[in-house]
Amino acid sequence: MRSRLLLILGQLINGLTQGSIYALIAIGFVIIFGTMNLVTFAHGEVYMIGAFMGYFALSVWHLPWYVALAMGMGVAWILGFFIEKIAFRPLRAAGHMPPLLITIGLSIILKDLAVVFFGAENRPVPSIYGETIKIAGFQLSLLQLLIIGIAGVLIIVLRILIQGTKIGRAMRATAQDHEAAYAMGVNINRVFSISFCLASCLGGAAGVMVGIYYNAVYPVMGDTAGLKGFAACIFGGLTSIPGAILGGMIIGIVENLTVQFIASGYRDIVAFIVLVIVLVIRPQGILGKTIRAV
Amino acid sequence: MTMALYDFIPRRGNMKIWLPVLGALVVFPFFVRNEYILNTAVFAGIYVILASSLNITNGYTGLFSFGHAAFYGIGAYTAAILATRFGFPFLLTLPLAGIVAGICGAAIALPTLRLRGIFLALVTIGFQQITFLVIMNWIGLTRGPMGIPGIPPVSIFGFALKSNFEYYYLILFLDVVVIFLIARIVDSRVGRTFVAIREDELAAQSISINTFRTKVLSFVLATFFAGLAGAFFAHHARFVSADSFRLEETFLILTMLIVGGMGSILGPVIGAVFLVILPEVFRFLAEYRGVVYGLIMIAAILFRPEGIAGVPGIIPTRGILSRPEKLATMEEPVP
Amino acid sequence: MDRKKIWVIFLAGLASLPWIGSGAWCADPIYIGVSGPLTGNYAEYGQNWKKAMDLGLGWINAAGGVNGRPIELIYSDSKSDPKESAAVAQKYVTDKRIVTTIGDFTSTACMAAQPIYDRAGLVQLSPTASHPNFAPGSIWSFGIIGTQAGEGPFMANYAVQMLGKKKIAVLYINNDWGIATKDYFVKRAKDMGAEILAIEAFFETDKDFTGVLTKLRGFQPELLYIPSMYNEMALVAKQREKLGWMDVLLMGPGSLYSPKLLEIGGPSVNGLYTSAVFFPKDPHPEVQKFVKGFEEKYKAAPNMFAAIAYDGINLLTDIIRKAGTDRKAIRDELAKTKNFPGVTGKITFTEQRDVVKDYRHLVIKNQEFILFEAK
Repeated sequence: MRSRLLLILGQLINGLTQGSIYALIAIGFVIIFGTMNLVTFAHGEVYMIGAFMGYFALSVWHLPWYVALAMGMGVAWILGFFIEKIAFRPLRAAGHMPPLLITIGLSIILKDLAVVFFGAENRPVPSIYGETIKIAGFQLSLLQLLIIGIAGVLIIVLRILIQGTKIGRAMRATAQDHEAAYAMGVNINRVFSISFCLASCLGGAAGVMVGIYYNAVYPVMGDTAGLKGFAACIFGGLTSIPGAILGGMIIGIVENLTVQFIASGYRDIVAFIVLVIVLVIRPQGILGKTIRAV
Repeated sequence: MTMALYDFIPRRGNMKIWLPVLGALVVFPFFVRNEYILNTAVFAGIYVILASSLNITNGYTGLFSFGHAAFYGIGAYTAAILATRFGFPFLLTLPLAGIVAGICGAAIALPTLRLRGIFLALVTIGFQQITFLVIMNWIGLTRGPMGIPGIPPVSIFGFALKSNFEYYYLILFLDVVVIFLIARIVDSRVGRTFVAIREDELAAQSISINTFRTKVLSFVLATFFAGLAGAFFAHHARFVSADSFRLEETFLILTMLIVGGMGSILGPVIGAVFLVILPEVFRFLAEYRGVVYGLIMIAAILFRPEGIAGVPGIIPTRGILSRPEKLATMEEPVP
Repeated sequence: MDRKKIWVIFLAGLASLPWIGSGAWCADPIYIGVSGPLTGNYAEYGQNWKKAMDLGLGWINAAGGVNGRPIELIYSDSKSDPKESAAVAQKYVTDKRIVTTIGDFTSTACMAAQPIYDRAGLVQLSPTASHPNFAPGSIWSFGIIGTQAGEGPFMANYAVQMLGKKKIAVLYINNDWGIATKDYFVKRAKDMGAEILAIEAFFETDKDFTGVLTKLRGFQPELLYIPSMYNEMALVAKQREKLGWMDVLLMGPGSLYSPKLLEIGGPSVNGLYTSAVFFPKDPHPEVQKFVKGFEEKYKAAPNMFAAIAYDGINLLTDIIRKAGTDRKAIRDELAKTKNFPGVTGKITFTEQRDVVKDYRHLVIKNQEFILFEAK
């Protein structure tokens, strides 16, 4: 009985770790949709480029993990800056679809370039914090704690940014009402740009963390991660950051419980079933405001 | 009589325009006996059906579906399973594949077609991925990642197709039939309702058109034709695996549709032929295929969203390089 | 002899020197088509093939090729994707210059291309397809690595009899090869009295094993048998370390036997058990010639995949020498092969155009593959 409980606890922690990574990706989508009212399909590729940056930092240049993390986030920020300029700025008043299609084009390009330059195989990332600590007969992986911890710290920093700084207030104002914010003198272009960069930066962080956690980075890693992150974002309500966190955690946990009690092949379906069910039953998500989805 | 490319619908009246083209297509294999080139032509033919069928929902009705490859796959697997396990011939697997795909289309359309725009797009992606994963996991039905090998070739009244030369004529025939069917649908009242829904769904509803039922019909038609393409693909390639039906495939078909042009008969045909031939002509760019497709898609949206032969306005172009005053609002612009 | 005659003979001899010297290059090459993964998930393997085959061909052509004609390889990148390998097959069967083909890498890719080669009548010799249904599927299909029908029982014996582990869990890659490998292993292991506690599958592209490893751990197996490629095995080894699950033995089939496993896996793969049909330290002169030549040219040790491709090209060249360049004649001669000396052991085709291989027990110690000695 006890070992059964420990087994489930193990899966829960697996789920929380994976979930915190999904949450970071999901928060990125929330920021973009919240301030700009737009969706990007290139987020997975930003995550992937961040991950590769982390790989180079760790495996090739042998830098410590926090430097790798910072570099991954930095590269993602810059990439986000350019994506916003190319995909979203030219088509400001054209609605959801054209920018979405452009991001699809961008994601295809980035993936292909990654395959050409990096090769399609896995790049191995060295293990860090491979140890476990024993608590009451249960082995807790230090790495999992680290990942949950980093995600937590990033989220707190984000909250401070949004609640406490001038640019954060500008973002919130823009998210509430573009026209009014503009009328009040907020530089909308700058807010959009910074929001997109911030979201990308979080995606890059997630990428680096995934590389460390699974010891592998590869060019098409952004596909599933991006879509699952989006599912988490929709689950929580497109405009709610706590919702995104909740969504990420729940998807992560349910995935691992599915592996435990059903079969490991069905793990990936969970996120998409969540996506479909939420969209069909309650498109505004669990914690989101009512939006015109129907 | 000047006519925009997107207005062209093949009818008996304008036979002197399309008949020579058809004639050229019919004789072309006699001059080019290379199996490899004919193989490419066969694939172009398959994608003509796929792009044209996606056009029904995305182009004519303005519903942005991103799940097309899944129905293509459902059609292909249906044909594969019926042919390998139950010995059904092509003449049976073809329509059955279309019907099964259509039924799945209906099953998905009913709960989800209330959604609009990005939400519809997302839910179709969700179904696309779910379909892919179910195919991979349901080993008993689909043999999962092993795929289904040994699908018999197309055999019509005892005559089995062997070379691409023969398959070319079959797909040409199917293309002609499908395009004519779609042309008839588009030219009819149902077709005009599709367009009405695309242009202004609220107005259409206000004159008592049951827009929901019509949208479902459009979806089912599109998936039916996609299923037909799948059946042909299965018997031609003689092997199906889930790998051919991923989200990337949907994006490819979508790119063909956008570049060729949405909302017209010629658009998807041109788009499919263009994008199938392109990688063959520019063989040296093979590694960069993704980059080329992505750039073409982006260039199309930024500079000519109506594509080569599409109806302008389906993808809104307001605000290209516009000023920040024209901001995106919380309202969803039509469609 | 007459002075003039001597001059004539001398000049004739001089004039004919260039013809003799460049005989191999003046003549038309004989083309062999290669279908394999040069890019993509399996690129590592395809690149190894290429290195080995280029090495082998270099020696063959330097010695005059086949009856004065050089052998040339035409490479096509199939990424070991069944769609692509079918397209490559289509290309090769219509290219009249190609007399025989080598490829593809995975059983699935081979079987996708099989009907095309079968229809057109062109030999498809796969160095690595080990699925028992591949070679029997067409008289034009040949496999030289042995099937899981042979390796499975060998590994089961290794685990149950030699290592004495009776509680086993299996984690296999969900494709043709993985399923066949799992089936043959499980069947023999059960016959030997082992308890198969759990069987789980993973997809080729999966990287996250924490969930499934946690689940398998719950069954408390003594040994994990993992039919997979070296990429995934390295990840499994690392991730189980993170979970602190060190008291279980890891074992996998010969697909793991490659320096890449050591490179990617690092210290995490110490203690892993596997098998080999090719062992570089084998003192046999043919093996040493190959190993030394490979190391000299590429500054790296050859792995099993390089060795088997090397055998493939040598075998085909030998057949062409005997049977000429007619596609059917090549097939018929190939089927008659008996005891062809390869660096991976002697090659004799069964009725079904498969081979039966000799395996060796290996274990990784101090990040090196060494032969396992039973105590």
